Amino acid sequence: MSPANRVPLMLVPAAPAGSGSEEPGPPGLDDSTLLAGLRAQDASISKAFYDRVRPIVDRTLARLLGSRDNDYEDVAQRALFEIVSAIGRFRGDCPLDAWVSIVTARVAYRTIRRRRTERRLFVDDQPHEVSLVTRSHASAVAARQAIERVRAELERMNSDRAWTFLLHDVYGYDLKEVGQITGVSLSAAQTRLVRGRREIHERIKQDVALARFLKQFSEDG
Amino acid sequence: MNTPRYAAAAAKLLRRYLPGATVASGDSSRGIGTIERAMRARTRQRRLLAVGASLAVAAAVLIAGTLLDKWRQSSASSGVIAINVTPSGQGAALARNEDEAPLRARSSIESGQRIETPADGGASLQLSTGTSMTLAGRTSFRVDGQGATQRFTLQRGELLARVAKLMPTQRFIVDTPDAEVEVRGTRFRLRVLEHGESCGAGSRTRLDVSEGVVEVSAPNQGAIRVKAGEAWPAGCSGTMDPPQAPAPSQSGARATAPAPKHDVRSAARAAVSDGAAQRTSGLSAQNDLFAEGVARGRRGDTSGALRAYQELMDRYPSSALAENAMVERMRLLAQTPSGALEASRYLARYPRGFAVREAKKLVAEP
Repeated sequence: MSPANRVPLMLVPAAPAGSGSEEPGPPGLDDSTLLAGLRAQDASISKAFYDRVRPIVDRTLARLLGSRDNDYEDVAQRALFEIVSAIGRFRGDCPLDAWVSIVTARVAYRTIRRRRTERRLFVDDQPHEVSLVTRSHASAVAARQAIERVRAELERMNSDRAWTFLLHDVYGYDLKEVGQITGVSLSAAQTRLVRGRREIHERIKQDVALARFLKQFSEDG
Repeated sequence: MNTPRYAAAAAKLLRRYLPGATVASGDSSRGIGTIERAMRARTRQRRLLAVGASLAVAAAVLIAGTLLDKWRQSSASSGVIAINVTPSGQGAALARNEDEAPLRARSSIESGQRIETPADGGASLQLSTGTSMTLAGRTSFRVDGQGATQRFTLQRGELLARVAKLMPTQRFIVDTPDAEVEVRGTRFRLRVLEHGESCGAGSRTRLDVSEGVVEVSAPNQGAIRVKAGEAWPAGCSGTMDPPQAPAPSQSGARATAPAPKHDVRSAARAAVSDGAAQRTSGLSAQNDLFAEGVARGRRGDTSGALRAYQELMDRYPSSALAENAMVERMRLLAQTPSGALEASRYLARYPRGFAVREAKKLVAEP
């Protein structure tokens, strides 16, 4: 995938956002201090570490799982546990935010895969946002309907391909990270992505109204 | 990797209307508790990994050791032991049942076969285990087992054995008409008399142990352990020393001297290579002198023993037993001022001899 085609949306922003839970950590405790304390089993840094990673965990889970999910808090706790348990494997070759996001996404992915009755792929639990960002009520309704139909197509697709498509093209993980989250090799992730894109394209092409909407949406920019 | 048009548009749509990230953080105290719990679990896990790794290494070492030991035992116990026999003196005969043929040099002998030596003959047996045996004249010796249990019968005559170290599953047994002698890894001399004598409750078997322990089982006596320097039956050891069955003047086929293993081999090799009666009788005389030295030394007659060894060295300077005689002299003189001198002589004469280390020690620490 060329850099021009890289999805600009990063689940975790590379640069810290300005306020509230976006704060990367308490003043005076940088990532290396936190990691050193964690590896040394220093319980006094527990709160600082929690404050540092919890926003990333929440952002990741909100997008993959939905903030209204019944298991949200349990999954968040599992993600925190997994992050601390696996901290020895963090070698610092990527930002801590990205690594935490990958670990959290992996926990979320496993959780959803384990569910037998409900395997939602794309969570649209905040429909009010559509109206906030769209220009008119009519277009908001149309966008909402289109999202629902795309989601339905994704649900009918091969689950691995759909997940790979979502993680890469929608949530912005690169192929290596997708492989880590879904537990497959880089080449397997790439294969799934190519096939997933082709499959969703063919499915949308069959839905004339959806295809027309997306064509218009794409042209409008 | 070009993205199909509708797939790209769908991804763009989903990205634009992604659920917002404005998620209220959950219970912070629970989250902090989870982090602390994970830290403790990580510590436990690391400890367990360390213990597990140590246990795995220990188990691997144990298993490897056990397997190696079993392999050694099975390879030692399952194989058939090869026995090579070479005649000495006037030779010997190899017999099975009623068939009898002259024994050739380096013949292979199997279970059920018998070696018969004439009065002035003899034979040397070399087992693949490292054990060696020398048969004296007028001896009847049979191989009964070549497996884990090496079993032989000495019907009459005399043998000198130097038994290599046995594995736990191996046994070395020599039967006589009235006793069973089981070896525990040693050097011994065994003889069967023509007739019972006054001592030893009429037993015709005589055993003289020079190294290690030999176990003797005789009727009504149970198993008796005979240690180095001891003889069985008690009080009959004197019967071992005198010549037992004097052969014609040159052969003098007395009991084989209790020489160390390699000495016996060397002597046997010398006898075989020459093959001449003259040389053979010389070998017997050498054996006699050496045996005399041993017997006198055992009785405490040190000067007599020294004389016997010296005579052997003087009369047969190129003999294979000359080096042994010199070593025995050195050992007898070890506690005297002459010990270092004798050791120096030995080193000068046998710079690569088998007792070089011992001699050097004597020279260094007289």
